Amino acid sequence: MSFVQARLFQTESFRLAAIYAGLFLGSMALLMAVIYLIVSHAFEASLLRAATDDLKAIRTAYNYADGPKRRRPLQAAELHEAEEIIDDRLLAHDDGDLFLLLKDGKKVAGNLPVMKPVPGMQSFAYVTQGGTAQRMLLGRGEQLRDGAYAFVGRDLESLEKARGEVLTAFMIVFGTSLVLAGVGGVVLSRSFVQRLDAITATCRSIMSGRLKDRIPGKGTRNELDQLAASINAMLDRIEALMESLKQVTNDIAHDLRTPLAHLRYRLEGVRSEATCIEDYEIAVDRAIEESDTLLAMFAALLRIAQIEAGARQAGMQEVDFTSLMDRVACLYKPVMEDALHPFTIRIEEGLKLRGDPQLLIQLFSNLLDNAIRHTPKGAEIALCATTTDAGIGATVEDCGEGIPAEDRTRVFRRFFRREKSRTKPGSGLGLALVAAVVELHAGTIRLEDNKPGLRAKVNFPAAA
Amino acid sequence: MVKTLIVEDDPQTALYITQGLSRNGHTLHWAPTGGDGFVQARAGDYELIIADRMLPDMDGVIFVRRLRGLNVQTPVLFLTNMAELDARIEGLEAGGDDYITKPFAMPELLARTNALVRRATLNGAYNNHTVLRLGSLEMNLVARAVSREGLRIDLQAQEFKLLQYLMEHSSRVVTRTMLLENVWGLEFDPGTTVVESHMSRLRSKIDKGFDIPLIHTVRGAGYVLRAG
Repeated sequence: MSFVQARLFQTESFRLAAIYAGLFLGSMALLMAVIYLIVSHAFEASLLRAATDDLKAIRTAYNYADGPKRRRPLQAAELHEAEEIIDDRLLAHDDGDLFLLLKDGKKVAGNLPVMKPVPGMQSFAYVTQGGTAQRMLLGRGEQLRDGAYAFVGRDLESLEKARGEVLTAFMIVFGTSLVLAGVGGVVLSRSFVQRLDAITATCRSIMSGRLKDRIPGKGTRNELDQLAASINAMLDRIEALMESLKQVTNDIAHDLRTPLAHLRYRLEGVRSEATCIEDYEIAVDRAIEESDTLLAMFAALLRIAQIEAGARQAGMQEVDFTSLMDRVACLYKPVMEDALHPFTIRIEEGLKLRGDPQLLIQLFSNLLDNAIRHTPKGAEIALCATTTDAGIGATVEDCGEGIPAEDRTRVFRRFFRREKSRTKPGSGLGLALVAAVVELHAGTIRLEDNKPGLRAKVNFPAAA
Repeated sequence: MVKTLIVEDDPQTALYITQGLSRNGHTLHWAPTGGDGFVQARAGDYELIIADRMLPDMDGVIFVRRLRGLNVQTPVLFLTNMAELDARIEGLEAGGDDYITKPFAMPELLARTNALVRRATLNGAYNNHTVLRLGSLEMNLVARAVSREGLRIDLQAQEFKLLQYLMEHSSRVVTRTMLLENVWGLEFDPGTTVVESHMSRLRSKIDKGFDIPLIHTVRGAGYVLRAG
């Protein structure tokens, strides 16, 4: 017996199947018993009714042979008449019809042996005419006039036979149901056990490190498949999160290590080369500045992580997007003037969406920062917000160097920086944060060629 | 001397704050738990309480709520972690007066503690003022008019707000973050030169053409508005 078979009978589905089978068979047995009783009772009643009819005929013939109301001793002729009726019956009917006519304790007619003249319904064993077998009968006896006694009975063999047949049929049905229920239970639990084993095997496999494994589905819409689908979706999510965690860990290891190393080199250099207090002061100031930059990078990382984890859902509210964009524009106007960028602002009136105002401001502030950083002095920068077919569209356009097509999705990765030397300021986290904020607002962002320069196109779905 | 209570379980942070503030005229007492802090805050006559949001025995919010419940109105500055960004609002609603995110720089902490202590001393006095004055600079909050040496200065709404904040904190250092939070309502630092650009705009209107500059840059800390 295999492991699977051994466990079959302990499974929940087998237990359930067994309970259902038990209940089903029990109710079936009850139904059968009732049917059996009703049928045999009806059969008996009809036998008895036939016997009673015969008896009535005999009585009528006997009592009223010469008209009603006659009260005189019974004549032989009258007895004979009853006798004839019995003989007629005996001729007309089959073996099952039993008669007896007694006169003063002596048998006048019939096919039953002499018996004690007891009136009313009776059931007893009798010996057949050939004297070969003893059988049961059911009948009714009646005391007639002048010491005459008539008994009409029916052999019960046909009833017994019918009963036997009904019982046999019931047993067959019952047995078949029992077998079917058992087989059903086993099949059900076997498939259940097999599916569960598949899930367990997948879990074990994942635990042992094969994170890509998924529970095989059967393509049906049953509960187990839905469970498998849910577990698979959960595993996908966990894998994605782990992947992103791994990514962050790698990012931190690689990208924060470099500035830390630079800081250390510089401190080392000062330690060996500084000759006066001023040298130290300058070095310490620079070290503080650099550690501030590092702290800001960590803060940005944490903020991105928070946004991605959906921890800022609480900040979501109805936002007057028009006035929010006006705020952004006002915030950057002096900066643009200082950098000599003509700053075009086109913001449609009455724009509204659901979002986190702080994050939305930060989104556009980051995009504008990027635009300023990558656009030569004097080149135009534009900030627009309009209604679109899909909701609200906002763009930040510049006339700078742009981003080549192959890098336009990669720039949203953490610490991705196009200039490898990393001499220009910037953490490489600005666009990663932008992407996270856009995603939090169920929006999309696309970078396009502004010919020349870059156009960052953000789309937010229409407020519900 | 400003009597300050630090409720903070991390000794290193407490030491850093103690060193920084005591050099700047604070007398400091340290309570390592919320319970200790509660007892000391009720007994001592403190002008300022600096409380961590995450104390070993209670949430800083509960600490402040209980203090306020006993009618202790000492201003409270919360120390929060990055991870509790959203919980900050909760802290302010519970009766905290300001917050600062760890890790923080000493000038930032100094500027904020000074602002808090001063606010408490004035006890909302300048809320009743309709005219703020500093040297020859005059600011009418009702008429929304600014003048220096009697000459009218036209300010845009944002510049007016910035100057008002500086006037209300005159002779005290205000940091970039304080300005971003209170003037622009921003919870994050937009980087680049947003504050610098606005400040230079304001400076050119307030100080240009006058002998004594009022707006001063404090290196590594922020700005201060002071006469001479």
